[in-house]
Amino acid sequence: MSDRVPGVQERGERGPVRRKGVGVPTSGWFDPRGRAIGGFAFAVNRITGLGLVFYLYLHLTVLSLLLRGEQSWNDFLKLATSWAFLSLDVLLLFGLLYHGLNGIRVALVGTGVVPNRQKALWWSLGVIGTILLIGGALHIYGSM
Amino acid sequence: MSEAGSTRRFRVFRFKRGDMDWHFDTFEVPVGPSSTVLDALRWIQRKLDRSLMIRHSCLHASCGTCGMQIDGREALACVTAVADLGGTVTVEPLANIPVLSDLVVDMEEFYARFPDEIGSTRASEGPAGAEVPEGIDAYERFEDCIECGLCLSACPVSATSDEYVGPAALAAAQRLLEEPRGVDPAGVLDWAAAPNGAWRCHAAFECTEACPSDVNPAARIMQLRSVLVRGGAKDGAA
Amino acid sequence: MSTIRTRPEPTPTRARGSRSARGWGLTTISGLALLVLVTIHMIANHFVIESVGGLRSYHQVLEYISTPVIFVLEAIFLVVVTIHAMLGLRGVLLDLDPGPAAQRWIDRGLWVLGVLTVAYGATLITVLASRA
Repeated sequence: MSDRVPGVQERGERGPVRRKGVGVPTSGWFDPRGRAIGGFAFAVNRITGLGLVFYLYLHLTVLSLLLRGEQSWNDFLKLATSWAFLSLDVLLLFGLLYHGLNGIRVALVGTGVVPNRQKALWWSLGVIGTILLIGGALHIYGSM
Repeated sequence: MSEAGSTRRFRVFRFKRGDMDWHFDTFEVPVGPSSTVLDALRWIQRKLDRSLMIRHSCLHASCGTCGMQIDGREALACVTAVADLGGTVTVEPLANIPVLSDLVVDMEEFYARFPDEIGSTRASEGPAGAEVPEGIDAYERFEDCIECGLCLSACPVSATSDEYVGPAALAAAQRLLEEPRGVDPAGVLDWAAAPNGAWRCHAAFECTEACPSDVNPAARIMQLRSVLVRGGAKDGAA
Repeated sequence: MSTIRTRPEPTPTRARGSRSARGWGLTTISGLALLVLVTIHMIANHFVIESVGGLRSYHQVLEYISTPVIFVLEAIFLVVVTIHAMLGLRGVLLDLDPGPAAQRWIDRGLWVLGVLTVAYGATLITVLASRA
């Protein structure tokens, strides 16, 4: 890394540093103000990623009910087939589709394959994802 | 400056050394149809508050000195038309760089992120087939990057990290690979491959969005990555 | 728009083997693998059976997981998703600029969490498969 600019004295304490967000450091990642498509895409990718990590452990916990036998699982199924729960499944489907399709975009852009097409990729994969989400939601709700 | 007789409200970030905290001051500024944000700030400084610290130079977006956040977006104040903004304009210094005073940030912190191989000024090859402008015998083209710092301010990684070298430095490194002209790029590649280098970018492309000079830093970082990944292929290194 | 040359001459360097590059590469590869694995998992579990919400009954689950091909696929899915999740968490946490000691603890912690996750999941599907 470069040395400091020669001839400039070391200053004392640093002045304040403006950050995007609402004062909490990590909020800078998710603050949509002043962001374009790419920044928004990154923020939602991070949110869906963290959500899916949470879901991974929730899913393992729920599947553990199977160890307790058929009755425990049937009790869970009653809850899991309610309208509210199925709506959460649609939210999960959104998270999976967004993270997966945006992941394709990140892989293509991030490896330098199509570095200048990130906006076009976001919109086109977004259309695909929206169609899949609508189809999936119809299937989920339609089975009630 | 006041041609049409209208005024605009400007909320301006204020901080002086010794202050406990920053605050915003509000000014009513007369503007005309061609007024820029820098015009307004200079008017405030001349007429209302001599203590307002601003920094500018060329007045035509080639020096990069007047970079700041205007209504939350990075821009050069000298070419941001007030007419394109809303009723109240919020002006803040660049993000992610320590503030010296008011709208002036310590650009030393920005320059310090560049690898040593990057010189202070650097000529660039002109586009192939470019014609010399009429009346000019010869000219030298400099790098697109005017080192304004808008990219570092816009970067969401830099929002939580002062260790990340940032888009400007990485874009400059990629330009060195494109036109080494006698500089050994190995040192720059090792620098870029370090944990706080090219692999910390999350491809938000906010830097490219903010750049006023068509550097396209994000795409250059992606190109840098593809070089880093392929770099060992020739000698078979793992 | 300035020109970006898409094939700059690669330079022999150690850079390709950098730890950060390997981590990023593994995240990308596991992510692409997950596109296939998640699709298979979702279709096989929720879109090929007739039931409310596409949820399998107790016996349908056991029958499913005890099928050898499915068992192997779900095991691979478990490992790959855990790798991707741990690397993703690592990226999020490293963005907070932890110091060197904290970074080591993060790495150790995520290794432990990852191993425990795979171990628990593998035990779960093995026990369920044996009950079919």
